[in-house]
Amino acid sequence: MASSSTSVVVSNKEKENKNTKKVTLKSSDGESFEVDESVAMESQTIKHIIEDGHYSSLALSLSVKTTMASSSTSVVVSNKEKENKNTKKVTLKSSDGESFEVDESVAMESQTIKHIIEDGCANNEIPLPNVTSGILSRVIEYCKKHKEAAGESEPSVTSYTSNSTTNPLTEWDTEFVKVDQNTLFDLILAANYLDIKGLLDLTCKTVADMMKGKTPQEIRETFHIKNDYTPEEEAEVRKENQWAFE
Amino acid sequence: KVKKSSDEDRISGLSDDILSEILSLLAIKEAVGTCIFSKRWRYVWTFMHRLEFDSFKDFPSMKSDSFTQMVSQVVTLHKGLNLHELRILFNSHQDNSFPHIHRWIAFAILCGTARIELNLSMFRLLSGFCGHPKVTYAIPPDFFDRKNKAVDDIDHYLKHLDSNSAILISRSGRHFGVDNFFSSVRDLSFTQVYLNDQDVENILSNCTSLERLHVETCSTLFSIKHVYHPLKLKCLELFKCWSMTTLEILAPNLVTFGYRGPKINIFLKGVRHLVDLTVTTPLICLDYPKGISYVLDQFSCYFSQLKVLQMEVEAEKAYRNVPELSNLKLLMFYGEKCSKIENSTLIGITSVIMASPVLHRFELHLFRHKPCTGSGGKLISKGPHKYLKEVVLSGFKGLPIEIDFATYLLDNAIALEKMEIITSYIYLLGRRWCVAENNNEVHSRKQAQLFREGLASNNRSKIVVS
Repeated sequence: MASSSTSVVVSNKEKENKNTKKVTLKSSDGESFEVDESVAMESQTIKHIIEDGHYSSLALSLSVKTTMASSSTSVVVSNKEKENKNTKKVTLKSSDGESFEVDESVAMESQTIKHIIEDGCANNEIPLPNVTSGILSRVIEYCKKHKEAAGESEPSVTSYTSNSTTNPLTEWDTEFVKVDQNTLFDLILAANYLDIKGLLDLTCKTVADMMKGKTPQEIRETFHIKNDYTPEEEAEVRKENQWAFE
Repeated sequence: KVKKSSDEDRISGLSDDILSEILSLLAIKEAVGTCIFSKRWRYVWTFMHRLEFDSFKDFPSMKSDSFTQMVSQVVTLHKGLNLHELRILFNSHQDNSFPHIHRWIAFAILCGTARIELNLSMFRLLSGFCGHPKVTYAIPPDFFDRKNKAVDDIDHYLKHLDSNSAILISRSGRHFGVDNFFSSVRDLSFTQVYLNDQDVENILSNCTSLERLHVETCSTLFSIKHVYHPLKLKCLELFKCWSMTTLEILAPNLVTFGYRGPKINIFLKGVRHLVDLTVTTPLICLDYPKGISYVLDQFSCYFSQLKVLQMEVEAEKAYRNVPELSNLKLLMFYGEKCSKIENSTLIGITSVIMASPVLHRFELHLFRHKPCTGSGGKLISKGPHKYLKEVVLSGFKGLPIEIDFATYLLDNAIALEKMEIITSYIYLLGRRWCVAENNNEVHSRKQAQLFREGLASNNRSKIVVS
């Protein structure tokens, strides 16, 4: 394990804060990197050295140059951070009192929630008085699905003949918005309040599609809009935008 | 708790902001037509975020006077708040519409519109040359000039606007305190509009947030030289500006560059991020080495950073080494109308393919090309290409040279998953792709099927004929 080219310099200095125990790794060209012990232990080699006990000073001459060493430590660090982030959860509470525990990263699809968390006001439970549990569960479903998909797809270079849909979830989205009008409008309001652009775009597009190709009267009927113009007013409006009615 | 009955009018309860978001997804006629629903809806459309007037798509039978009136009416009534985009595609060149066009652009600038497109092109089909316009609209002199003169000009245009534009006028009053009218514009596109060198210089200097500039079919543009202050520009497209003699810009943020015009010396300084290059130069420019050579001369220093490259094919008499395109993922060639595709052309094309080790997709779009004498001859394999997955060959006629080329690709692109053979003609108009029918469609399709049938089964499954 510890071959001729490796040895570890471990500085066992105990800091004021006992929780952050650090080790120092020294590369082959003499540069030192101080990292949290837990992070350094991502390397099995170093882990064994540390766990094996007594050492006053051992030198780890990594047979890699400074830049590589730093890049691997930074990778180690970020992996650890990512791990921690992934398992962090928040609780969202709907207007009717139901709680939903979700991964923080999924909740952060909502810019509103993101700001609340970043401002430190979260306290792990975020009340959403404008969103009922039924709608909130759907919104969470949307965010989860889109968060997963975002991790997987690789933006590809498109040209004429390739399908330029940048959304691989088109089918799923279409199914998602096959709901009654009340739910649809609730989703719009929730997406607006929670500032989730993708969901707002999707729901608005759905409403727009419901309006396309219909006469004004048909649209009124679809959405139960009551025409409250007097005949004179209506004539005036028609005249103002005559071309739209030809 | 309010019980939501199933026939409640929920839509009218949404905010103006959300409703205008929805209306921005509709065609302008439908969107403005919503004013008739009810009193609440009367002015909802005036908050729309985008305004698009495409006379070709949406108003094909409308007379140009009516079109002009319609746009001016909308511009007058629209509140001018939060307008992100104004697109006008209009093919009339009667000079009585010109004052209106001045107003439309003035309106857009005043509203802080981020994206402005004015397309007065007469060309709708490559095959149908609609004729030159009798008069072409020109940007008013010094329109993009930041100094006081422009302020006076816009004020002048405003005076033509009707009373309902009190809002516009009051906003412009605030704007007069603003140093720069043009700081919100991010995307400008002018097609068949006369701009001169000073106009473009003003645009580049004063539109400080400009990310995309597209100028097409402008014969009054001779020189663009802007090298002292780095531009924020990410995308520059100059198509069919046949009078150009000089192009020199300092644009460290440039990612996309598209050019179709005379073979001039092009200096793009500091473009470390350029990844998308489209350069096509027609056959008529005889004073310079042809086709791929021009691109090599001007741009080979960027080859290693490109991810997308589009070029025009020409018959190459002599051929040079192509520097490696180590990042190229998408390569497109297209042959212009009636070009001759010879053996040397294909050698040139395959050289570029072989110089692109990570090439994912290759497209060759031929357009009414002439059959050349003799067959394809030998395309010598330079070794397998380990990465190429997708190939598109359009304008396919079944000529021997095309068959040879397709075979060559099948043999050498060992990772190939799909080869699409399209019999229609696909061509670039500016940066838009259009489709034209192949007159010999039936014959071409038959040839393509025959070719397919004649292949080994593993190759046959990769071919799709459409």
